[in-house]
Amino acid sequence: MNPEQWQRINQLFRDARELATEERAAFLETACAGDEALRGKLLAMLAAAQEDDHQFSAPVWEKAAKAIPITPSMPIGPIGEDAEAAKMQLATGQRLGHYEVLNHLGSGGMGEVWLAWHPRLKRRAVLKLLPARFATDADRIRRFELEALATSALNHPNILTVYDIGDYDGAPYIVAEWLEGADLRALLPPQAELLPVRIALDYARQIAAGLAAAHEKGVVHRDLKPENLFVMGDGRVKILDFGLAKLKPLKFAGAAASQDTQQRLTDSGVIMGTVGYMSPEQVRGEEVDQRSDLFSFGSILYEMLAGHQAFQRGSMAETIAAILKEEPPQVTELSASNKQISPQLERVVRHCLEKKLELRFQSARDLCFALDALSAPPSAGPESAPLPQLESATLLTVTENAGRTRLFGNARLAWLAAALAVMTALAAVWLLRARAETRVTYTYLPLPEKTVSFDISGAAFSPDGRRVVMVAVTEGVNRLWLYSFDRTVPELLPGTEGAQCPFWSPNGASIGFFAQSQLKKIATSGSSLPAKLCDVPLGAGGAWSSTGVILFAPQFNGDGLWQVSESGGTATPFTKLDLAHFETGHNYPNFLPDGRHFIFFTQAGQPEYRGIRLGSLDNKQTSFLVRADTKAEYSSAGYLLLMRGRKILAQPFDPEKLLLSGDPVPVTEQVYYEAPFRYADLTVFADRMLIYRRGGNQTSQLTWFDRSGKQLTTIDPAGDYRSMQLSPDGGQVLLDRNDPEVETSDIWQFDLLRGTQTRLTSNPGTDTYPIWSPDGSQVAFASNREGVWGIYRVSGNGKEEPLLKGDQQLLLTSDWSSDGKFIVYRQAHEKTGLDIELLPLFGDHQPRNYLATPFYESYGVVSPDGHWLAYQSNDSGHYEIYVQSFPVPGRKMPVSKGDGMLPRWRRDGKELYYVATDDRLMAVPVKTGANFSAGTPIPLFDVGSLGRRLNRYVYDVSADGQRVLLIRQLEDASLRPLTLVQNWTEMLKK
Amino acid sequence: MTPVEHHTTQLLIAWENGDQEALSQLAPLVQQELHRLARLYLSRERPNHTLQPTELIGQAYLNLLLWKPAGLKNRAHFIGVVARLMRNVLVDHGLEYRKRGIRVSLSETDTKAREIWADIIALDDALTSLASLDPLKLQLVELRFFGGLTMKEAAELLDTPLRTLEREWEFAKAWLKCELDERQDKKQDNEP
Repeated sequence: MNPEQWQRINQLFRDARELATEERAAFLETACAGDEALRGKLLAMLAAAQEDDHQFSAPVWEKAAKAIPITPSMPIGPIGEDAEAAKMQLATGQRLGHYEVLNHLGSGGMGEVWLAWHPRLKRRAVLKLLPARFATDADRIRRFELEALATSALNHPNILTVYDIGDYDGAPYIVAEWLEGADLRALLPPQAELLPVRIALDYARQIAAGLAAAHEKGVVHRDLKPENLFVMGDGRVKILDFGLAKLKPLKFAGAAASQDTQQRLTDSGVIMGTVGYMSPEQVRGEEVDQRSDLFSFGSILYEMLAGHQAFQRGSMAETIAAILKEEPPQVTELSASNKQISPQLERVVRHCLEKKLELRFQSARDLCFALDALSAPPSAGPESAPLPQLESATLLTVTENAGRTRLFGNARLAWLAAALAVMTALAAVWLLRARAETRVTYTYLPLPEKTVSFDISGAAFSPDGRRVVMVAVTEGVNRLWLYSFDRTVPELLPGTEGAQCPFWSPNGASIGFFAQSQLKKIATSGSSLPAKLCDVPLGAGGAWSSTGVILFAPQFNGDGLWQVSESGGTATPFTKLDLAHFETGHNYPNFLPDGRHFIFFTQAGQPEYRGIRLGSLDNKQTSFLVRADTKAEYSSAGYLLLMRGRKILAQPFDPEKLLLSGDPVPVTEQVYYEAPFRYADLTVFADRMLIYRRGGNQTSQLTWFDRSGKQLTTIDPAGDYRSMQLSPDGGQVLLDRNDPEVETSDIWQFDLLRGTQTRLTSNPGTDTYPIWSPDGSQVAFASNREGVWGIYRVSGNGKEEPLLKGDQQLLLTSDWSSDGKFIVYRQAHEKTGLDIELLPLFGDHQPRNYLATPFYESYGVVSPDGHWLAYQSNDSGHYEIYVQSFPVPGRKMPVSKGDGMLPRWRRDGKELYYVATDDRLMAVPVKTGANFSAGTPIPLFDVGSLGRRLNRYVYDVSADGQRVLLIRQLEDASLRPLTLVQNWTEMLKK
Repeated sequence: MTPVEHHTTQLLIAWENGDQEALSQLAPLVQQELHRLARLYLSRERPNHTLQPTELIGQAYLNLLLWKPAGLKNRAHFIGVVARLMRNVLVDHGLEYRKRGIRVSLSETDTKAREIWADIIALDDALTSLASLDPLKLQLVELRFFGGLTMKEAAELLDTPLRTLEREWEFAKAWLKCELDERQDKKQDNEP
């Protein structure tokens, strides 16, 4: 739907709603004037408006609640209306000991859990603040500290490492290592499938080893349960919370499970299930030793093998009775399917679960030996001795399952599990072993403080995938920021003001980027300021080869790729535009792993030739690889990531044979894509991480401003406009408007007084750069509609006629001389780059060259008195505005001071305007007539980056010079920060 | 403005001006606000299901802390930002669910959940197409659906007369309903 249709449908809907129901049909019949689609839509909408709208009566929350449901047994913790409960003791930014508190990860009966950071050690940790009521007894706290530190000091692989213990406002806290994985609870039925026996045995051995080490130091756990056992992504098990149980204010005192006891247990955050793992002596309230842990261990092993708890019953009283008196059914009897449970294993379980202390295993070490002796079930046949790779495959499945359960499973706020559930993202990835975690996760990259804008783009993974360089606008200037996955905030790279399109050196030590009409490089160590490599007019993408060559696009349109040495020097052209295919620019290069072959985006006047081409440093031949709408990225997972419109696709690509295979598979859709520059944020690291930005298409709107930059009025509708010119009487404006359906542009005329819009051309080719004849009766524009670029004229009666047929080189009209005799345009030439040409509308009508130098001259505009031509040229290394006599060139007189693009004359010839590279519109007082002179440019206001980046006329000035009409980029209401997807290749599996 | 709102606004201003301390004071207030948004959501308990609302809120909150756009004008604007984040989180989960859902055979409950997610994604999609056509309606819908604001609150935030906004709302609802129906129909047409 286009904006006009949208306005119309809004108006008609409102009108119809004001009518009586029975009158509406007739009204629409007339009002829609045969537009059946419109009438149908309105009828449907009116019917919908009559319906009961329960569908939209509540926030989406309500809906999502049905799809993201709640675990009923979950302790709700601070969630809910209870403001007192929601009050947290800690807050982001606070310091506890050496640690800085970052993000709240979860809360529960056992306190608050936070992500913490040690700034000097650069270490992430989990900080758990216990409720103050745990600290009623100073002796107990001291003992807890001693035990926790003693256990931690063992530095045992199966025991959570505690970094620090302290006291905050009377409440004890623990700082412990950061883990990635899931608690054992999440891996047991009913949350997960029954564990394979060898996995259960593996876990059991690890737990027993941890217990043995602790017991040998005289530390008893006292609260061993699946919630306190953590299985990491690589299958390693860690015992959490050693000694913590001692701190619990309520000791279970006796077998009488009174209502009161239950209540108090609930209050203290000990969920009922915990009782199920207590030893008989614990239940009776007697003193306990390490053998109590072995009973709890037995209960856990039983549950891992049987799939249900040994003693859990309907009520706490029954559960306690079972612990004291009952023998659980034999595991082997229960799981007939589980044939791998040997009688020996069964005996180990029984031996742990002996009610009488003296009959139980006497030490965890004994238990370890017993478990080790079970290495292979002797009763099973040869098929039960699995091949090693089979085992690891099974393990992988389990951990994958674990990862998934973490977000979508019953995490119960066991402290680390809760932590992990929320902290899906940022850095954790680096703590994982390869392939251990295979779930897709989404998060957003943190942005620098006070980032104001996303309009300047660019983000790229370092070659090792540990860092991302991004462009962000803070304090009104776009600069490079470096984000490392082991840090929480991005760091500024100093001296990178104005930076765009950053790219990494192959060793990751430097970053190349474009700023202030130069290609520069900066060391990522931040130890020095950027160094200039060469002059570049605008810069639309670069790539750094391991052979020391940098390829870059000097601007978005009009040229191929250039090359320069990584140590700087003279840049030379490298790729050539394929004119037979209407190519207008090569952009966004990327090297393939061999450092010699590269891919790049080719912009073309015909959509079918727009896409990715392949080239090599060894010769200058390039070949078309695949259709695409913006840059492509190669992933070492063996894919080329492409974009078509707002979709990201992945297609298998062999970087050695340089061949694509199969079909492109959609990765994600609804990705932000800047149609005018054919730019999208897309960067990938192997099969691990993918960064893109969600959002809609960028649109723009015509807006009037005064000279100070105050916004006056806007002109509807919004759309994708590329260039424009005001009519001589100022009442009309010509626009080059892109049709998003077909991705080519047509010429439109807006009447500023009456507010009407007229489409002047509708053609499958690209019609662009419209200009008025001096009397406003005719319009000329450039088009490739007949297979070559040419200049066309359309008169008031709508008749279109060709004025000039050029060739495949992009040709762009810029002005019609005030005497009506010449059309000024720019054309690309092989030897001399962009040149200014004149098309006489008299005599032989043969085009003649006005300016041809090896540099880029373009945007020639003739002064109102017809004696002078203002234009832009990059012969000084960057774009500047010059004036020469017209129609015969003479001496070149500079007008801009430092930089300038897109010149325009005021209608009385007393002022000249241009856009400086800091995007400010400048006004220069000038004298024309027989002699030309220019004063000092004065800045008016910031017109945004659209004109500079697109290198097109996005502005015009009223005849009196008091008002500026601007194509203003609308802030995309649906634009979002950069999305980081982990394990993105999982998105391809269906 | 109630004292609490006033306080929040003060803190937001301080935060905008670079006072990190203000953020730490703000956090519990934001948390409360998010909980308010989730109120309806939490009033129900559904057994045998998966993701917890705390996680959803937590993630939105985390995103909020990491994403610090300047120009937060007041509390209401802040809620607008939160609503946008809620939308992001829901859609991301929805897209993931869809990916995952296609791969495994689904139980009846899963089918229901899948439909709901599909609706949320379709809604997001429809809203995205609204973005360029009608930013006001987009904001309104976001605030109401994802932010849980009442019409009156939304009118205050958008600084638009309530009556005007009600007309916009009426249109937006009718349009979205048709849009979702159409998308649904199209999808069914495409499915064998």
